[in-house]
Amino acid sequence: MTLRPGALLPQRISSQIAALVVASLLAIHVVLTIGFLLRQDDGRERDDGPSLVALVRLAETRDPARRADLIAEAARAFPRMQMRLAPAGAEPAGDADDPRLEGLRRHLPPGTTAALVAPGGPERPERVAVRLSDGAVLSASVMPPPGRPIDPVIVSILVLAILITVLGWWAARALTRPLRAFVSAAEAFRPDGEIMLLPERGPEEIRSAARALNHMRARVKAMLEERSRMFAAVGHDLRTPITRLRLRSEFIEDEGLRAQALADLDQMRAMVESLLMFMRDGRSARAPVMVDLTASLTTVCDQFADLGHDVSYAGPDHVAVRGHPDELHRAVTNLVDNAVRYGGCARVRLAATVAGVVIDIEDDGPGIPERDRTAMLRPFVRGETARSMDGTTGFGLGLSIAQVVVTAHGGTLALLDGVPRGLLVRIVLPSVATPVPVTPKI
Amino acid sequence: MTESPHILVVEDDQEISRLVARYLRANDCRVSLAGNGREMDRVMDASRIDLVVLDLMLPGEDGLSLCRRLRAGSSVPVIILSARGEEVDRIVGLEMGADDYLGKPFNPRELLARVKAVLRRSDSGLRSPAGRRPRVMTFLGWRLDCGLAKLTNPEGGAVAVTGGEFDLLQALCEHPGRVLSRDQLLDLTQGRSAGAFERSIDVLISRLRRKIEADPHHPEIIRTVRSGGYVFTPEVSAS
Repeated sequence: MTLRPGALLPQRISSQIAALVVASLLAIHVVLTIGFLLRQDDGRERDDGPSLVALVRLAETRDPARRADLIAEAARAFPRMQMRLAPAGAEPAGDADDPRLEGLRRHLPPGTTAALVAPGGPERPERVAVRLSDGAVLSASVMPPPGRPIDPVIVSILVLAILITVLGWWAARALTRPLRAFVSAAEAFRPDGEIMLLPERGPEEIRSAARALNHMRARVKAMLEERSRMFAAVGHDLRTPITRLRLRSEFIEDEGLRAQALADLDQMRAMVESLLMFMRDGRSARAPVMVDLTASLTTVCDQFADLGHDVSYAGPDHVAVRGHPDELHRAVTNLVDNAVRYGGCARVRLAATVAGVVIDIEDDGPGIPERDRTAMLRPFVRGETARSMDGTTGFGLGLSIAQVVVTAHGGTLALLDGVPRGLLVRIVLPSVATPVPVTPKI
Repeated sequence: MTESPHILVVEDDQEISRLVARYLRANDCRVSLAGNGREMDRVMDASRIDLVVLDLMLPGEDGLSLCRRLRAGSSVPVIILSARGEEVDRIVGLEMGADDYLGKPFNPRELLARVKAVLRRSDSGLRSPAGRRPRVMTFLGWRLDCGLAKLTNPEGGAVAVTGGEFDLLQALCEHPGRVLSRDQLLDLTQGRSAGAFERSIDVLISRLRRKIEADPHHPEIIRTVRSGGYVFTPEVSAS
């Protein structure tokens, strides 16, 4: 039997927190104990041999005749100190002012001076010569004092602070990792994309929340698919009666009436197509291909110019983007159509920049007030002008379709002020080097 | 064509087939109707049919399957009608051997124009011996997909063209190295995009040059002939 990692962990967040607190306390305790034991060891090592100060005090109190015996005994007892006594008059070798002996000098009895013969290191003893008050020189090897001694209280507080910080950080990370996975899963949720199921693991509370979110996402996806199917079916079913009407209208004797009927049917057809296009969300069943954007833009401009509209194009000869030619054509057509319809003309400009491929479509119309721009990009929203015009406008999907197409191509669409007036629609598409995100169809 | 063409409309919506029949008859065609595959077979056996207009969504055997069957047994031209209007349907339909494709709702005048264009092609022997017209033509790395009316540049990029521009390029490709006058080009391009608002041949040529020539001011692919016409210089291979 294999044990799932973490199977022995408590299942609920509350028990996990309790376990964490206990574990932290235990850990702190263990660390402090180890610290204490290590300090004890240090103490013992420092007790190796009498302190030089004590030795000097001892030597000072004795009469000089017996001093030699005393030092000789001490030297035998502590051979590592290599004590030597030189008679009075001998000049101590070494630097009598060395600052490294400042601490020692403070503790020496008055009348004695200390000189450093050979400096030591962390592992190596230093050689110190002390001139006693009667001129005799006692030299010995001693371990240099450790650096500034650290207050044990401060050490404990520091260790505790570090431990608590690390443990707290770890605990917060461990406990909130599933929550962060939640957040990113909710952010990344696209009803048209593959549903990446949230892993149902972690504490019980998180597991049930993950289950609930997974169910909710499946329901939302099913709902949206249902809606798409419904619209597609409606669009498809409308095509048959429109076809019949279209055919019947051909037999209307009155020429004016026939033209009107055909115009209405064309509008209905265009509306149904725009609805279906919008329901596709700018997605295409086919893989993206390279598109000669210049050719697409000039084709749209030529078509509008042929119908007598004031449409101009300016830009380089060949600019390529990656995408779906028909959808891009539809988006640009919608925007140019809006421009000539509400702005009287369309100036289309194309530029390849570092930031991407920029398409500007500008008109001379009233423009769109800044506060209305976000709303205008929403589906089924029409501007003031469009509402007050005759019945030749559609569902108000033109801009929305252009936007979903541009977004599906990894680009952006912005409504800006034209110069000197009018509306400027700016599309920025990624350059060819940048891959287009793959948006799988439902 | 000496006598009026006999067209079979296979469509399950009776109102639509009745109206299509009426429109085509008014425009000098003989029309038979079939509501499904079995009726289609009966009519095909009983009389000589010049062209089949085939709806894709039929009760019983569907249009695609009928199209494949028609293609296997004869070389009768087929125009597909579909209400689905998806590009995929168009591709599949043309793969199945249909000569043209029209999405619903369609303009009956456009249907008539396409019927005439397909009949003209099959009469003039433009159809290849296999009974099919070349689907794809290539020149200098450019690719012309006649079924889908798509133009692809040597880098594999899709190049947008209008129906008129495409028809003109197709006509030029079908007659490489030959000087074609404006009138000849006009004749060759009539049909497909009937009713569309198209410019003169000269305007279309200059638009095409802008799209396919390296330097539109010094054209290498479509050359102007001084005596009044154009010649398509590259070699064209068809498949």
